[in-house]
Amino acid sequence: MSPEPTEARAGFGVYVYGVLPAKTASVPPDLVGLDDRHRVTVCAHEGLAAIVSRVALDEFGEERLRDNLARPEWLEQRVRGHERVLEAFLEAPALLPLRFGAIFRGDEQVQAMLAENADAFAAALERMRGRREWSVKAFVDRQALIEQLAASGGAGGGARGEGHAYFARKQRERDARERAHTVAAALAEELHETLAEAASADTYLPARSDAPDLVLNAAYLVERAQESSFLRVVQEAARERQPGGMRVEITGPWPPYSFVGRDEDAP
Amino acid sequence: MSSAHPATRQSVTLLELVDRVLDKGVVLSGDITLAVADVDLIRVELHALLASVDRLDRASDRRALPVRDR
Repeated sequence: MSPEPTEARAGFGVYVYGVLPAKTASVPPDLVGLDDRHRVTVCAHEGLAAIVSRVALDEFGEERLRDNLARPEWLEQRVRGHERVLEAFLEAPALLPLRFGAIFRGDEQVQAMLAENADAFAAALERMRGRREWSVKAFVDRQALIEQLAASGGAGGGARGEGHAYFARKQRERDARERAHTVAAALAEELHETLAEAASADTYLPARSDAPDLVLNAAYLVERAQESSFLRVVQEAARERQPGGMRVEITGPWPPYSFVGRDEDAP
Repeated sequence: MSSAHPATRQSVTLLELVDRVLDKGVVLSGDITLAVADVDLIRVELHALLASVDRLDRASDRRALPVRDR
């Protein structure tokens, strides 16, 4: 068993935000970590640098972390802090964002982690070089679409009495709901294909069962030199689809979270 | 269309952060870590968080950046 690192003895751990090539790792002087207290620094090993800051173990130690994760307001604040720190490095030529919540006992352990993963990090940094992530969401007012489809389904059945007309209308509404589902999916897929053509890589993010109007939730990895043309493609696509009732939102650039997970390890 | 970075804008919803910061990114594991936020645990907590996100979203009337003609 190795001796307890100085950090741990003093009641601190080392939180890791991301990894980048050491020679491009310059930290803004007054950048503080996700605890809003400790300064952000880098911890380097050979060619790689980890973006780190000290965190108090009475907040981020294993037990406390588990408790804190159960507090939505704590989680939100720290998740925003994690992202805020990484955004200070968005101008770096390449950046690997870590998932929230990796805490090490000390700088030595961070360096050991860099050494252990050196080849995988180098390969991933090469894939991310000069690229950043953009988030696109598209919304369709599903209810309006259903009503539109129901109305265009024909008047039908009027002459055969009110009861019959009622059931015919119900049937039209059911059909319209199914068609709306198909139409919305097709609209989303077609938008996604248009945007994916202008990007280096693309991936779907989870749909939300409680947000039926969100028809496309996706991330695109875009070459920095292509960002303005990608934004134009998005803007143009949004403009074309606006009369059809689709609303498109874009945010970014983001660190390339959606392209560095395990699933993306394959070449 | 603005290209301001996500966290410097008020406009980015927590949902987008959750989709990325909690659900994506490089995952480290191994004995050398002091603590890694347990992803399974986070998935459980995510429900609580998203429940509060929904309230926030409704309260803030979705402030994400729309793409519009300018």
